[in-house]
Amino acid sequence: VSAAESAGSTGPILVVDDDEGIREFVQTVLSDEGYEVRTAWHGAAALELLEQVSPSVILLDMRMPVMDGWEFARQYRERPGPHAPIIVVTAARDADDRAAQIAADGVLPKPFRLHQLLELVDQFAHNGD
Amino acid sequence: MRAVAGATARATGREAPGASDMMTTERAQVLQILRDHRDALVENWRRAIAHTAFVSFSAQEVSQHLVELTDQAIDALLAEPVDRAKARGIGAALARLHYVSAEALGRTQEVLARELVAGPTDAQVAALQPRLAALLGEAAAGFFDQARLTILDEQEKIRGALFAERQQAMEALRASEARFRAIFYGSAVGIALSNMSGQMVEANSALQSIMGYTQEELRRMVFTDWTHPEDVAAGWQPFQELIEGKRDHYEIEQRYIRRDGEVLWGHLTVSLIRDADGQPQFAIGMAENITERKRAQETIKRLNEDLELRVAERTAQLAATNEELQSEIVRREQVEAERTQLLARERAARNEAELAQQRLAFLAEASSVLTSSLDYSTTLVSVADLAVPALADWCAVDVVAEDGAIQRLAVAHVDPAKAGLVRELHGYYPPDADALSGVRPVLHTGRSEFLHAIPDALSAAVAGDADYQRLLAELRPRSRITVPLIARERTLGTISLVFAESDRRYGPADLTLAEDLAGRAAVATDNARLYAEAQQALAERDEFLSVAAHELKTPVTNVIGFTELTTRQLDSAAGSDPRRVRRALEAIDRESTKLSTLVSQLLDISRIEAGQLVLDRTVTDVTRLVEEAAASAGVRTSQHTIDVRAPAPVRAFVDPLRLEQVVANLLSNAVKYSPAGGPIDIEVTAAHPDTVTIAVRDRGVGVAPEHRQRIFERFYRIQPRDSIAGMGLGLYISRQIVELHGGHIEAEFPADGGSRFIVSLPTGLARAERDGAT
Repeated sequence: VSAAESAGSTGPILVVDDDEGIREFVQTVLSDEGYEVRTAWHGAAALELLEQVSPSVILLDMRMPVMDGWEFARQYRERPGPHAPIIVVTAARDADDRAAQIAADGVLPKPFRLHQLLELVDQFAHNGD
Repeated sequence: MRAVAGATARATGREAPGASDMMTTERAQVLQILRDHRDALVENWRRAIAHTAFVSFSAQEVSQHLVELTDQAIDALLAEPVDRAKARGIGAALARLHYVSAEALGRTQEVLARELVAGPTDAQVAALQPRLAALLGEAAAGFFDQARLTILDEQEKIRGALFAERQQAMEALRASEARFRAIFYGSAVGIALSNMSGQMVEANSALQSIMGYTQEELRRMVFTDWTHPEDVAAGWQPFQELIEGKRDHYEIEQRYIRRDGEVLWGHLTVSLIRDADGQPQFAIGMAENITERKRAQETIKRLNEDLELRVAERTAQLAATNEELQSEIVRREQVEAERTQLLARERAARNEAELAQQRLAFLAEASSVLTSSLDYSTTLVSVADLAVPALADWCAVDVVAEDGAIQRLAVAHVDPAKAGLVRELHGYYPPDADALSGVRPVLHTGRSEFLHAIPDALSAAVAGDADYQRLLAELRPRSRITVPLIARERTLGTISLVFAESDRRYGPADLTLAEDLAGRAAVATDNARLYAEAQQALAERDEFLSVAAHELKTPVTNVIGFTELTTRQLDSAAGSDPRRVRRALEAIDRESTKLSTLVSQLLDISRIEAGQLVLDRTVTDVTRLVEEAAASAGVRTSQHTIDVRAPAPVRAFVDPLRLEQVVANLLSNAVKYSPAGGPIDIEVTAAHPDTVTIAVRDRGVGVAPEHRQRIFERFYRIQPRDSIAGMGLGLYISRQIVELHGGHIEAEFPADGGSRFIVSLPTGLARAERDGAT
């Protein structure tokens, strides 16, 4: 029984990152755990995707082309309806600061271990609104 | 003829005869007068008959005849009683004489008659002619009668007058004698009459009292008898002269000896009294006892002498004192002068010390202010603020910017409203104004400039636009110092201190102070610069490390993640899926390559920063290089088509590895920023024989306009929120490589989307031939 199933979560996990390697890795890991995963390579693409899906958790990179994490968070929060918790995934030195800047629900500093990713996603996916 | 009678009447008697002889005397008087006046009388007669000029007589004869006639007329006139017959005869004789004279001149009696009687008519003349002689005789007689009466009348008057005069004289004499007596006997002054031998005749009581002799005793004495023996000779001399008539009076002061032997001083005045005949008769002497006066005079004289002596002594004393005082004054003046000099020196020294103190305090404050900030511009602004108003009415700090331009960094003015003008002035400086601003020359020479007074002529000489003139007119610089900011032998800029409003002038001490200030400011500025550079270097290093870490973390995460994933696969109870393991290993390989590339890029950046990126040029076929890079990039993507358009071999003298790095980077970006895939065009052109261009075009997301300016900048300049991370490293390195080749790189963002990066390179073939490369 996958974590996703046991959580009874409705929405997919949204991964927003400009690095193809990260997208592939996170998608692989979370898919293995039974989560549905959608990916976008920048904020604007993610917002487009959100027209169709309502994620349970958003894993958000901050520095991206076209639309960065700050702008995405601002626009996402302005949208009506329930909001998924946002986990900032960043290689920045001041990861906590960045998370605080957009009032993120969690932070996952790079590099991270596989179990760290899973634990965090499990936590929010289970407690998600 | 009336005049003759008048003259007679005015005669006065000379002799003083007795009353009985009166008539005789008068007769003689009249006769004498007539005689005295005979010549005048003759002249009158002659004038009366002048017009008949006696041609038949000589002048002498006429005169003689007239004299005789006149004498006869006078005798007749004076006869008692008057002999009228004789007078008539004389008149006739005169008439005859007249007549003869007239006849001799051929004149008629008629004419003569006319001349004798004025204004007669012809008829009257005719009637007179026969009786003319008789008439003339009558006329003469009438005349004499009249003259006689007049004379008698005058005689009476004279007699009355003489009598009155005599009466008056008698009265006067009587009054005079009375007065004399009163004076003589009543006087307090001693008076004596002496005869001409000096013997006393009369002495008044005052004299008796003065001399102590009685009247009788005195009458037996000569005045020399009581004269002090020593004064006798002096007393006799003038008396002798008096007697001899050489003088009428004299005065003398001499000593007398009283009867009791006492010596007196007397003031004697002696006058001569003559008798009626003018013969010396008496001498009258008036003696005044002046003993007391003399004694007083003596006393006064003695007192005077004493006084004079004392005055002389006192004068001498005073002179001495005065001299002392003078020398004292001189001494005091010298002392005062010395004191003043000392005071002035002391004051100058104190002023100097105060000024020095102020300067020290100022410099101390300056140092403290200057070192309080390690910010370069803050430091220089504080210099300007420090200088005003203590050192200047306005201060401008100019610095040389990195590009060599002169930048007015700081400005201060006592009137803050004018600070803007000072800033504006900088912008307006025409080259001619260098002499006025001093900034450029001082920057050039590194030596201070000191204008005690800025001549109007200098301002005027810098003509130019009206705005510039207006600024000068408002700022009115009067005196200026421009000092260089020199640190470590480098001129960083200048400080200009200007006196304007306050009308002060700079002196050498100000220059020293300004140079000192400038020295400190320069050191502080240099320190601030060094600090800023060090800070920047540190920040850059920090940022570099941060970015390096950031860039490395993502692939490292992926390598770790895929490795863990693989391990889990291999450990899985369900057994591993070889396809999944393979995919993971491929990902690890890809991410490791990415890591390797990143590390290379970071090393490249270090080399660039250190100036150690060196090209290894060789003549290269650019077309082939691009084709190989495109092929290599194509391997890594399945979604993109890379289309190369290039002419036949285009040769260039380049570093092939570095150029390949550039092309690979551009292709990598093209792929990355067009994630949806699509065509990527790469075009090589050699439009110009010396230039080759490589253009890479994608149809991806492009770059937001606000970021376009900065895509070639160093990565660490990217702001925290900058979203073009990842582009920075490659594009920055590419630009450095292209520029090392002498070319340039630019970006275009076509309207239909995507980006187009163009690299232009000089082929460098001429250089290759020169270097002998092939």
